Amino acid sequence: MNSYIATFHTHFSAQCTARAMMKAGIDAKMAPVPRSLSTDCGTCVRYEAATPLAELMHTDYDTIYAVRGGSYCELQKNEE
Amino acid sequence: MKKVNWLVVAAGLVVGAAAVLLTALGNPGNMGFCIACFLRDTSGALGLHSAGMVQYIRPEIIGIVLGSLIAALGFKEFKGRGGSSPALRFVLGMFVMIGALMFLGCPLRMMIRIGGGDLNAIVGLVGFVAGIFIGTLFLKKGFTMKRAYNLGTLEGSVMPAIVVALLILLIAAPSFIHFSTEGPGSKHAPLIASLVVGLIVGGLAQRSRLCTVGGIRDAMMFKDFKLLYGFIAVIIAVIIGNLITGNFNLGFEGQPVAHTDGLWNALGMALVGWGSVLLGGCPLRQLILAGEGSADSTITVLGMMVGAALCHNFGLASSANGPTQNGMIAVVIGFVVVAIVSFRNVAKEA
Repeated sequence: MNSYIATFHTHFSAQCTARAMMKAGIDAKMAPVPRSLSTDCGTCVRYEAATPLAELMHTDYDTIYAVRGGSYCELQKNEE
Repeated sequence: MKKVNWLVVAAGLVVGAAAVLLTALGNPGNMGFCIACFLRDTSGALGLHSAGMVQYIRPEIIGIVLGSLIAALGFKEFKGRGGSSPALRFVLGMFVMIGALMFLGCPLRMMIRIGGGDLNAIVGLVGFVAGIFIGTLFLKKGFTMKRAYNLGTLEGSVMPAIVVALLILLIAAPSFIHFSTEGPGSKHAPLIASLVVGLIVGGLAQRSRLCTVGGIRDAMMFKDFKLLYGFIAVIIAVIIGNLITGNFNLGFEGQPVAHTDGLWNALGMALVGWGSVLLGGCPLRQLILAGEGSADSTITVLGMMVGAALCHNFGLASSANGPTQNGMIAVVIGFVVVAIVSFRNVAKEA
């Protein structure tokens, strides 16, 4: 199991994604975005999963990061 | 996960100390920093309202925006972005200002007033927390102002350009710029001191993401207290500073630039709290975001400046004598408008 953080353009899109993940049985929770990843809305989703689960992201997601130790590794960015 | 972000705490301590310093250098009592009051003074200086006692281009505002700009550029975080419900943000900015001038201060000044022993500000804090709580209920229901988009460097440079123009006008002091000769607008620290302190605070607030609304919102929604510690640090620094300078005066009566009407102090700050949650940050945070390229926050700040002008042109702003009837009506209208925006912007698919 890996740790991930997804950032979003709106609080609402973070909320939709967190709900979709929890519905799918994923261990996910909303949290303030870490300062080093700061984006528009200030809310991210932290989750534990085997894969980044890009298919569960709301359309207004920004970036998916893998959490490795104390650092974040960008995996996938949602192009505008 | 870290429980305490020491940069936020340090930023809070510096903001609090800066407020005490600026008051000692000449700013009005318990008004070392007040984003609402300083935007109001700047509106007056530009002639947007004609209240002669509150007209001065406040260098702190210029410094905060430029400090944020410099920090954002230095850390490659400057991004010209916008397009997230701009007209609604303008209107919400206006009503946040109307709520703030009912109370006589933005959330930052509320903290500074608490640090000066002004118990009316504790009443304001109760309203502020209640307003934030209502705002978070709508966030949980799916409230959204829709997303922002990349709009390019030029769009993001508008607020920095405006404050540079304000600085030129302040220094050149042409006859069409108004300068108060009495009242709060006439009381100010030296230009250089105000500007330098503003630059430091702007830079630190940009790096730490200090936000008076965000601290309480994150504590309520996520049980995350990192930003809240910055909020508390401001109050502690101001209390210590005021005790050292002999400006700590505990009580309700006789507080500088304040009134004692508890109901309207609370309601004014409730409007500020609710509106600011919808906007995604307090008035200080809006200045910081405008400095780092947010066109949405630029629109919000301009809305606050127009709101300040309306407050004085229509007799909405409170004074030391208390709130006005027009101000009470405007705050009630503000709650209706903020409620309409809140209900109408709850997305269906949540």
